Amino acid sequence: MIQQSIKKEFILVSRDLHSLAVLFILPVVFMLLMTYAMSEKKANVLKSIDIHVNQHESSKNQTLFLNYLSRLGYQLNSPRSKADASLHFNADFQENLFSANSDTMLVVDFNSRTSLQIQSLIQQHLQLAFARLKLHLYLIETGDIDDTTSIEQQMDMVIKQSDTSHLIESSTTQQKLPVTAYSVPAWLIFGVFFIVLPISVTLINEQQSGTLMRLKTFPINLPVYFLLKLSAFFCISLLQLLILALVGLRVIPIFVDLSPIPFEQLWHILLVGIFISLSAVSFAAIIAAAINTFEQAVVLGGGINIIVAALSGFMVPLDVMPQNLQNIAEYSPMYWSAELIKVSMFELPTENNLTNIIYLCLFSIFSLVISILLFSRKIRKLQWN
Amino acid sequence: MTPGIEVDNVSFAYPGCRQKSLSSVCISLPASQCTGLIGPNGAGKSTLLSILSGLLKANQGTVSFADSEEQSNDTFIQHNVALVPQEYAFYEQLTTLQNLQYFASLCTKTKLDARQMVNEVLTQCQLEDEKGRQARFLSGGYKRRLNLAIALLKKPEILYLDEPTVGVDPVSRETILTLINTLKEQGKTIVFTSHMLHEVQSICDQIVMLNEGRALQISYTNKSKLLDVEVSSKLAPKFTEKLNNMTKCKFSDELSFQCEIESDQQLFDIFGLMAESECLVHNVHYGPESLTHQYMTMLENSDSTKY
Repeated sequence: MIQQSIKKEFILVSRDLHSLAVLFILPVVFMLLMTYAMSEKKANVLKSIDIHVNQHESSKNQTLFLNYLSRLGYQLNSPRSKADASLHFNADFQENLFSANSDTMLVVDFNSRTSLQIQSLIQQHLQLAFARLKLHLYLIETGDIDDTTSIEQQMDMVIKQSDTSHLIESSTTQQKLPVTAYSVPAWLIFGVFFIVLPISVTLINEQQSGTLMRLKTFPINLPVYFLLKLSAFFCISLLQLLILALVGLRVIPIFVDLSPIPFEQLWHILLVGIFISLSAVSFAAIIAAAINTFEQAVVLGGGINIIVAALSGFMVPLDVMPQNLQNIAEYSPMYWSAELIKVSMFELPTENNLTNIIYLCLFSIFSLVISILLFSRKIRKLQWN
Repeated sequence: MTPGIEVDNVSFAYPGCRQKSLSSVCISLPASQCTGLIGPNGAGKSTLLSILSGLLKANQGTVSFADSEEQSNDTFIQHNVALVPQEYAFYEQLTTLQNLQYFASLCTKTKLDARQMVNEVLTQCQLEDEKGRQARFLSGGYKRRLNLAIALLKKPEILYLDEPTVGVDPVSRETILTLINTLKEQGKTIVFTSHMLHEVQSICDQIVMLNEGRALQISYTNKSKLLDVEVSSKLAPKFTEKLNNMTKCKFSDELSFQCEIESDQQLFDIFGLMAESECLVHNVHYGPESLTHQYMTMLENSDSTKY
């Protein structure tokens, strides 16, 4: 019976294109897109930022300022309509550069479509360009720069003098994580938790066709039947996780010029995957047992998953979210699962693994109990259509 | 006739519904016979089948099974009763064979038993040629056969069939009806609902009619015959009086009448009376009373003939 139940669910899922799309295609596309989007190097990002410069009359210092900005990689003198930001130099820019008062010398007008991140980056670089300009003029004044050399050589010297990166050493003992570490675990888990749709769809089909009602006349306890169904979906979920992990470890890095992650990590992922799949299936079981229509499955199942994913820091990085939302994430099964996958994929320190596994186990037990209660209630209320 | 199932004073109303779907139904369904359950839509046929198969609990009254011995009704039903619902209650994406294998696994202990049982019902329901086809691609007739085959996997002693021939072609209908007859001959107790009254009449040993939740009549089919007579001249009052004394008669108008005939002698007596009264006969029809006729009459008189 167990074997036949598992076989039945595998066949039902494999013959339903929507389920296959939700379980495999959707997460792979997400992993690929998000990894690719995050893989854009900083230099490339700056090259794609257009700045419009609005000058009444060009002074030597303004030109030097703009040269420093250009050296950072910005595209200057774009048409205003296309530019991400417009710079307006004040008329007294030249005179006030070293003055003690804090009058505005430059106004930045951001395009409404420019993101907050890019606005922040431009502002930081404008301050850097100002600092380099002032240093440049100061070094000429003190004679440390030979003003007979070309302006390019002078700027090289100022940039070299003001580059302090060699003074700072990153004290972290952890390895530098590749871009896939920030996209693959999150979207993999997002896909795994979407098993809610296939489970709900098969259960609703059984309910609407009268099969569930018919099963009541067979010598089988229906809560046991429900647990058998969940066991089958646990196997499907584990297989899904393994396939997605393979794609995330071996295929996606190739698209972003990274070396594939060794196969040994797969065993670690499979081990933590047992707990992740268990929690995903038991969470899905609650929703599947509570709903009665396909529409409810999509709205509740899909909607709750998206909200939990957002709260777990999958869409906006957790460290830029407000503290209270960061606190909520720590209670999310998706967050625990993504952390486990990240640690297993990139051999990070495992000190929180046990805690996350315990949380997932407790969450699974709680969800299973609730789902069986809901399913029993559904069975009691079942009628012919 | 050994009673197979006794339904005693059963009433049922769906939650939130003031009107009762079944109201004090008392019927006895004989063992090893086929009982037809007829009635208009919403009469309570499916509700009664649901109660008989343990899917619904009656608000009042009891259902008892003759062979249940000391078993509870639920246990007896799980092992001895099968229901063929109106709906195609199986997995559309599985093949015929996969469906049967899955349901067989629920009622057998070993793989060998399951395989044997699947082969048996495949042959019984003539589904061998379609065993590899996904159920969603089967024709309506084959879907009905699969629906029935799944119920037969339980080897039930009692079989409920809820409109098993709806939407099927004549060949499949014949297969299903022949199979039901075979099951009846094997001694199974069968309860059969259908709107096809000629079907019910042809295979059922007794008929229960439901209307507005009440069992209106329990009659044995083919028991009485009807004589319909049309005459060319007005019936004399003396003739009608004598006729009424002989048998139960209905006079539609002054030129026609209908009599219920219970024996050949009665028929001869009526013809004798007609000859004696010099009736000019225009048209005569004699034969078993059609179930359709009974059905329509019962519906018309439902208020006055509640049992």
